[in-house]
Amino acid sequence: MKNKNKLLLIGWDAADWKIIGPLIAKGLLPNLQKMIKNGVYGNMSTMNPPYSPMLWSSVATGKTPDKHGVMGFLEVVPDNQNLRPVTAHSRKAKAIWNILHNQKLKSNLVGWWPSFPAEPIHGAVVTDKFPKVGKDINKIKTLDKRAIHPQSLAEDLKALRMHPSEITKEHILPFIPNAKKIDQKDDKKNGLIPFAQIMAETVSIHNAATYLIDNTEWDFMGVYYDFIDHMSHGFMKFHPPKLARIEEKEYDIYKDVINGAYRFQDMMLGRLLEMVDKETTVIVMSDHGFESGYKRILEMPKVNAAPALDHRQFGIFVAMGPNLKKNEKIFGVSLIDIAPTILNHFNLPVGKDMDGKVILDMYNKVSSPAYIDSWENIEGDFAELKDEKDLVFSDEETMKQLIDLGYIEKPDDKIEVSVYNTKLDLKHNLAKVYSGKRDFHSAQKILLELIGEKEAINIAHYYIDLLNVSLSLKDLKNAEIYLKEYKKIKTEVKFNIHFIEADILVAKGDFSGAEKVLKTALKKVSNTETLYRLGELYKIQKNFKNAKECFENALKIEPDKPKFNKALAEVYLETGEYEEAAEYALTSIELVKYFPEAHYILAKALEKLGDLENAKLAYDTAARLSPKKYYRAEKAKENIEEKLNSATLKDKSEYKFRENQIVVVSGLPRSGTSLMMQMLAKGGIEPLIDDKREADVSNPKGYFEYEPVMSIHKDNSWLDKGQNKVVKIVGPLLKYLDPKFRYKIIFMTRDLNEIIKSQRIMNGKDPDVLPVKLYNSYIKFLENVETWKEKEPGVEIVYIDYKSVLENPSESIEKTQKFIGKNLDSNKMESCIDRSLHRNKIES
Amino acid sequence: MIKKNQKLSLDPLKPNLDSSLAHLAYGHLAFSAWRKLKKSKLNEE
Repeated sequence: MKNKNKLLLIGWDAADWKIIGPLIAKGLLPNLQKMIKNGVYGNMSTMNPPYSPMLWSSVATGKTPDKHGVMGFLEVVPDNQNLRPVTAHSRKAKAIWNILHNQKLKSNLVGWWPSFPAEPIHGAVVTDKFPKVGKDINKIKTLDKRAIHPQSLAEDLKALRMHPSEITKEHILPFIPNAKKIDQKDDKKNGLIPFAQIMAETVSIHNAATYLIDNTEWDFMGVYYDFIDHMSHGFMKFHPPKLARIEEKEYDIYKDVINGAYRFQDMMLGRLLEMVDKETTVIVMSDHGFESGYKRILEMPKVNAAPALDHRQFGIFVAMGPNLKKNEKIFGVSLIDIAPTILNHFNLPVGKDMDGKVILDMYNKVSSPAYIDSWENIEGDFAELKDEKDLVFSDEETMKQLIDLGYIEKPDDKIEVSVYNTKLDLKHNLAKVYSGKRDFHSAQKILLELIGEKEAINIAHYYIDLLNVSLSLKDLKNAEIYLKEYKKIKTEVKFNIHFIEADILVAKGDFSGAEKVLKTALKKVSNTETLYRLGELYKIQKNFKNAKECFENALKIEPDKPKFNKALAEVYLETGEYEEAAEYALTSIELVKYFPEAHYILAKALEKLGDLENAKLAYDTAARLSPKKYYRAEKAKENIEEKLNSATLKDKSEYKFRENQIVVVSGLPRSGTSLMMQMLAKGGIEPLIDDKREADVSNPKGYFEYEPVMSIHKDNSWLDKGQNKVVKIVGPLLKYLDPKFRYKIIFMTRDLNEIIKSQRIMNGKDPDVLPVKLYNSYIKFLENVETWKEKEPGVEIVYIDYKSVLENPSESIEKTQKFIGKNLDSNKMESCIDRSLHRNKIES
Repeated sequence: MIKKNQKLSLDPLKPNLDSSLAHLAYGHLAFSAWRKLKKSKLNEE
């Protein structure tokens, strides 16, 4: 029977929304656009360090590199005598296809990095070694047996490999219309040879993918394309807008390559979508983005995996399928979420030791995922690789490509030196992983070992990371020692240490020293990060004018940097410009949803603006995203809930005069009921009063009360005397009203804190003590009034706020008249209001 | 995009995304056909 629950995962290494957005707007990526329209989309958070073999292994395992073991582009061969491009042997955790194999599900895997040597799973594996064909076209006929599984497919697949020499001008000209202007002798690096190689390898991968879709049965299929990444490393520097240091001639030749690469990738996507049925869930994702703005690096520094410096923090995530939402942006997706999501798709439990989560937000119908402790401890056949028998296998093509791309240095003539430095670099990458996970102690331990390796070629870099980790741990004393040691190192690579120096000075309280360091750095190179740091420095010194200027200048250069927007929002919050604060906080949230600080600032700004409902939501989000840091958000949310509770009182009236209606003035004691009674009496409604309670200091103009009201719970037969009159009945007694009459209740409201304070003064108690139980019982009481009024057909009610009566009498009087349905003498009503009586008010 | 069973014909004089690259994007069937076509053209020459 045909499987109807298939999942196709397509990897576009380095794809970035910044390039995709404008192309979609022009209709040039119709297939990705179709997926967005019919599915979900969002940012994909990458991890540090953003090195593709580590990241794609995290995609495959749902685990961070410290757990899966792939630590970089290279690995040391088990005999410790040589290096090779990283292989599947480095992966120590089970990949999704291992788990699916164990569950008798079939996977097809094409080009995954790293996947060589092929694991013997149910399904087919075309490894990352498959498209590497070398210089000699005759070599295309030979291929390491371990590059393909099963061997029964090897002959067909081998014939689908394209050699760079087969790339013709028809394939090149759409990308490089002025290709004939390229001087192949002088322009080898940017020229057509690397272009043709990348193109041919991509076609080989795509051919293998379409072949497997046509000729095999599968449940899960993963296809990995490095086309956009490799094209971006080669040609992004020529992408518009033109960088000042790029020559006009070269810009003119190569400026269309990147857009062409994305369009070709989209055409390949179109074909894959055409080949799968509508029941198949399809995911397109990248592992990181790629810098395309002014920050593009033209000359890579000589550091480990330097080209990755061009990788941006956010990649892309797009998914479409039968149970997925349509045209909806989702937030907070990370690389490590993919494997758990795939397991959940196949109704398999997620390992609790996986670092990612199921992306539940993308589903229409959500069912709770199942969990097991770990897949690693499960006995059985997972088709994992056995220990190597044949230790050294050459992979010159891949090695050369990595060197050409600048990811690795050409190995030293003395191979033992290269092995030594590579081992240290892999360890360094592990320290970076721990830093990324904010496990600074583990990172520090490794980095301390690394700085002990005095012959290490990258020792300066180890020091820089150790300094940053020490500052994160607030280990100021040692940071100063490491900085001194670092300055003594003779290194070709110059690291910017002004941030570190400034951070140390700030930690010591020397703000003017830190300011001097940052300003000096800014004079040398105008850099948004330096502007941001300077702004933060001004902010902590409460110099909001300068802070604002710094953040605004940083945003002029990089408007979509979330932390710059958040920083400016904070400044506006401090200066009382709440609308602006909310706007910038919202912008930063739009850019990155998982930003608890921004949600917290937004909440504060909205609260100040009086938008309590949304403020509550924003506090709630901040508290959920970072419960430890934002415990205050939980408290703020509770406060707002209280405010909202007292604000959810709703009027119930048809605003018509009723024959023989009884007007009732009600509310909690000290909420302005006497004032309203007085106003209505002056306005022309006869009050039902007996004047038995005399005026006093608390109510100098009298209480306007009727003694039988106090015993209404025993006897309400007097209520007919109130017809066409107004009577005061305090809130808790309303429930004893006889339902045979029609009531018009004017319910006075007032800030509960003020009411309680006023009551305590009247009773001779300390006004500054807030009795929480009483406070809560009043809130409960107001809720009960709301419920009661709905059940009583003869009852109409309006809520009139005491403060509004004092501050905006005409509006309150108009509302009152409309409610009673009778013209009253407004002037006389207003004459009753004496603002000096608004004592015990709480200033907001 | 090339449809299934569509006759494959490349015009090497008019390179554009919609023809030459569409063949490659179509995958293994178009690739094999293209290689065969190229080989036969070379033989003709």
